[in-house]
Amino acid sequence: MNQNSKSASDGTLKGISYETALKLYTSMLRIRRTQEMLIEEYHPADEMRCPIHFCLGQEAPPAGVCLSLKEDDYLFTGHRSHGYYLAKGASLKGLIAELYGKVTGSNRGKAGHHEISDELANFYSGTILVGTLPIAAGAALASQMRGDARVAVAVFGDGGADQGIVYETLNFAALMKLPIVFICENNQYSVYSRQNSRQSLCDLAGRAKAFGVPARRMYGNDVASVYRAATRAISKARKGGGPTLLELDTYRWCSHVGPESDDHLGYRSPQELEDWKSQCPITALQEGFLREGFSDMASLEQIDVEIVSEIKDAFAFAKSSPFPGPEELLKGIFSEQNRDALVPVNNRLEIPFEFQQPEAIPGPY
Amino acid sequence: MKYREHVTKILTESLRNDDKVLIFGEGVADPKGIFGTTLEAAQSFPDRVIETPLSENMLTGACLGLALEGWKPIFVHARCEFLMPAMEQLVNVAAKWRSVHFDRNFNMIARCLVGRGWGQGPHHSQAFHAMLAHIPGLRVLYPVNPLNLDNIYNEALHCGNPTVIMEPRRMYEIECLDYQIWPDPDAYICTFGDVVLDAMVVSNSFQKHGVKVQVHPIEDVNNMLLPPVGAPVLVVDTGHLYCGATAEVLAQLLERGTTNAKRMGPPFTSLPTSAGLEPSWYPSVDRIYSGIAELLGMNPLPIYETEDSEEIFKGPF
Repeated sequence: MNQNSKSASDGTLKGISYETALKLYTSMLRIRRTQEMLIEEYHPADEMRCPIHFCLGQEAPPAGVCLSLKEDDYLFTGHRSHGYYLAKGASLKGLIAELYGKVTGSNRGKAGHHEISDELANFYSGTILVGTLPIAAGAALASQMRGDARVAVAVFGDGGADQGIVYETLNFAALMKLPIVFICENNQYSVYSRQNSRQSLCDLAGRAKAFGVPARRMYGNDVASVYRAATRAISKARKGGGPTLLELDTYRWCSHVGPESDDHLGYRSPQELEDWKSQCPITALQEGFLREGFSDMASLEQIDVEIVSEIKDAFAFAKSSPFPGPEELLKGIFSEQNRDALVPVNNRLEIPFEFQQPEAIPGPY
Repeated sequence: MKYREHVTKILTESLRNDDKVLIFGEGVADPKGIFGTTLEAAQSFPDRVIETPLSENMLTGACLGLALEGWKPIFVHARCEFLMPAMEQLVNVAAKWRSVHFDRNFNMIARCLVGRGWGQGPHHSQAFHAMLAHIPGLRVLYPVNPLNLDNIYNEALHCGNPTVIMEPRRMYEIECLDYQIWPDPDAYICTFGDVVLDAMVVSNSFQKHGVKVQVHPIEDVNNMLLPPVGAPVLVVDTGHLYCGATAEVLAQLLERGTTNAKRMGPPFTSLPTSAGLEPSWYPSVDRIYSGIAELLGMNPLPIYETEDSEEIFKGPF
């Protein structure tokens, strides 16, 4: 399927300005370099003590989808979150510090990689079992009720597509004509299970259509076409045109989780991996630049230098930040008014003195 | 005013006083309106009482999304059991959201009914207060006193945590809980849910023998007000004993130094439907009466008598 969808993508930068193309390039490269440097730092330093699901090779969907999003639009995704986190404009320093478990992390060390979020960027991730999808629907419903033209993007994968909650959400989104765009990144694997071992009909766009959500499947590693399709879907949602689903064919280069390769387990063929590695979205865009005569390599290299410097600063910030103190442990269970001692609701009922007198009690007892 | 009329009034007033309150659910806007409790609200505020598809898990997540944006959704489940598909969102997501994401207040309510009687059977009778209170971050309230419903809903709408309100269907026709409150009772019956009604019958009967048995319903499951050390305590629940709410009460009583405490509940099976078996599953007035007498060391058992010794509480269930 990936071969078919790739050939269907026209691979041009048609309708995209130089500035936009450069932003897409920068976004993808920033994701790429962050992932590479995280992988390098992970072992043997062992200071980022949480599982990390790297998105190396899958930079085009987040870059393409997020560029047309505004700061107050929402993005909800699952565990392979770094690409969307960065492309949405969330704090890079906050990301690295969170992975190091420091109090300066985006979630003060409470989320780690798994649930990382950034309130200012309206970015939320994690929750396992595609739990963020309905929250995105709720946020979209809130926008609809307020009439403020904010859009929610909800990202899940072909693995998540096995969960019932996806179809409950699709139905609700179509029923209520919610301002929501669903992005299904189909990288063919849920950990080690191939899509065709989990699904009888491997047609995720078709499933969305069955629930009333217009959908299309496309090649996910052509950032320009992802950008064009996402822009149209987001714009349609913003104008009250209801939901859309984009199924994007892409591929992860790393194992499901962690920096080590697990390809020795043989769950995917080396040929398949090589095939997709040769379809690097960043290389593809560079070639697009050359074809269109858009840029010279020197300015692209300068972007790279700046990105690497920014990431190095973020690592230095994270390493020098403190861990959360013990007082952080009990924060965030119950709300402030209830933090020190939950006042039992019974206590608040003022029983008038007369009520306690038998004479004042009505029947039948 | 009956319990269910209090609920009806509170729901309507909540919608009237705060335009961010919403009511979701299967049946909230239909002609029956959850045993009548949402009818008035649906008629007065039709755009905020929303009939939903049968998708509890998804809708709970949607409630969270709305709550994060400042709305106060009340998601109604006609039976406690219907909360089960929503457990993923409640336990994995909503309960933990605040501690992971910026310690934010958000208010969302899962309002469920605990069924009883007329052959409700295993799927229309469960009470999950113990299971839910086991999760940090979930507020669990189990109102039985009609006059306390205002406080309960007030807490639920403002406490800043996802809240589960469990309403025993058996309480719906009750107007008030008029048990006496003594400063120095001879024994306590701590109850969860509608057991308070049986405890009141027992207490009235003991009063005829000059024994003060204090009825002590527990409505706040996260922070349970418990009797002080001294008089013996019987804890009774329609939820199961094993790993149940009664276990938590006994543990807390023990930690405070009360050792003369016992608990009572249904047999550890699901509720049978047959009218021949159903009544004996629930902790009955007789059993509670014997339990107290035993705790007080009363031998022989004083004769159990009450003004209305036949069934006081007739349906409709």
